[in-house]
Amino acid sequence: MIESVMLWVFALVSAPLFAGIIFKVKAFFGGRRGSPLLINYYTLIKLIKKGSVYSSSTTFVFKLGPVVNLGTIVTALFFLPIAGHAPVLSFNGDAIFVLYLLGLARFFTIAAAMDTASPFEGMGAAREAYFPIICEASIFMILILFYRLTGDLTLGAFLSGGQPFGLWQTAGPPLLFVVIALFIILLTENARVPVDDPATHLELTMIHEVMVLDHSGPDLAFIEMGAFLKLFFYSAWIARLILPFELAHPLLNLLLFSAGW
Amino acid sequence: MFLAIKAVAALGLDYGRIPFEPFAHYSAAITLGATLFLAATLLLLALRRMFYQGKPIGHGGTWGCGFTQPTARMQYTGSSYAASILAFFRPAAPLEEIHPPVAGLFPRETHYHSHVHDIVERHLNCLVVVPIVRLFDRLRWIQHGDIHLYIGYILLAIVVLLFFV
Repeated sequence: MIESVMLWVFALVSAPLFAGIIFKVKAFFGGRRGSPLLINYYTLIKLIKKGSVYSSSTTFVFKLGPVVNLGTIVTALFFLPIAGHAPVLSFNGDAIFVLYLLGLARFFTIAAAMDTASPFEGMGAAREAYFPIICEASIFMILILFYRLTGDLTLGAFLSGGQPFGLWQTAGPPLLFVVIALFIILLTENARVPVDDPATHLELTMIHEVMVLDHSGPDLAFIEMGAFLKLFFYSAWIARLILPFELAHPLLNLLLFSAGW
Repeated sequence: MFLAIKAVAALGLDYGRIPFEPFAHYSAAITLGATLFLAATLLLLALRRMFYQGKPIGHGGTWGCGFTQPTARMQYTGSSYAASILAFFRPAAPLEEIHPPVAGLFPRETHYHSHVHDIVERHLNCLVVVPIVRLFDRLRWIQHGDIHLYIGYILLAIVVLLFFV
């Protein structure tokens, strides 16, 4: 239990680092030196130190968005088995609960974006509502497969202990597709390259970034932190499936791998 | 609520076949999760308040890339929001767009109108309602207005029922 809580804290603390590693790897493949590894921590601190400018058309919904967003993903991490250890909390059906928590986060992000009355953010919100329709359907298909294999609907039963290794032995080929599907879902949900590019600043091409255009200061820090944790959530999931061995932290390997994209 | 269910179950009215226990566990677990989420959110709200202590908070227009004087006609509407989703679900939600192509270098005026048809409304009418109405039109002769024959129907019905009941 204490181990699980410590791992949860580890997830909260290290998530920006993993996103930093992605930056670094991207820069490496782009032939650049790239930003320092701890760049995301600097960004968070910088944002927290700042004040905010609010649009005069926004209401409390706009301010609530980032808080709820971060709150849901922090709660979702309670149910995630990190690096093979049992999650802090677990009950039958928690996989669905967690997915709906993430859905709640999405709802509030969209609501906050719509609250600004900006057409750009409306476009981003429309895309944010559209892509997850496809993603959620595939995630639920994956959950159905896992349920058929394990007879359980908890993330703990899928990903903790030696379970992923057993899954590979009983259903290797489908699991290969699950990993591929999950990877595509990761890219979509976290607004990464082929779907979205967090680096562009052309509103018309963005999904997630365009929705947070009007956020600033600590609010933006909350959103960034939420995005890092969400990336951590999905990559921890895939990492366990790719490397089902009892290593200390297979997460590192995965994030390097995912960044090469 | 579960106390009440247990009390009713104790009466032995054969309601015990419905397994309430798992549902009780689920709802308890979901409540726990929701409480956690609420606690996390409240904590973050407190943290946010702390971060904003003594900070300058400005107000301005929505950032709009030079889009400074929008009117209600230029807004991003509900149908624009739904457009991409509707395009994906086109087979289930047929979209009709009325939009005459613009002609000439300086087109005078044009209009755009879109309407999403209800697929049920559309097909229910031609596949279910019309055939049934036609069928009953054909059977109109049964309802002729002759009271004696109506009594005959009742008698016939009773005789037929005698065979079955």
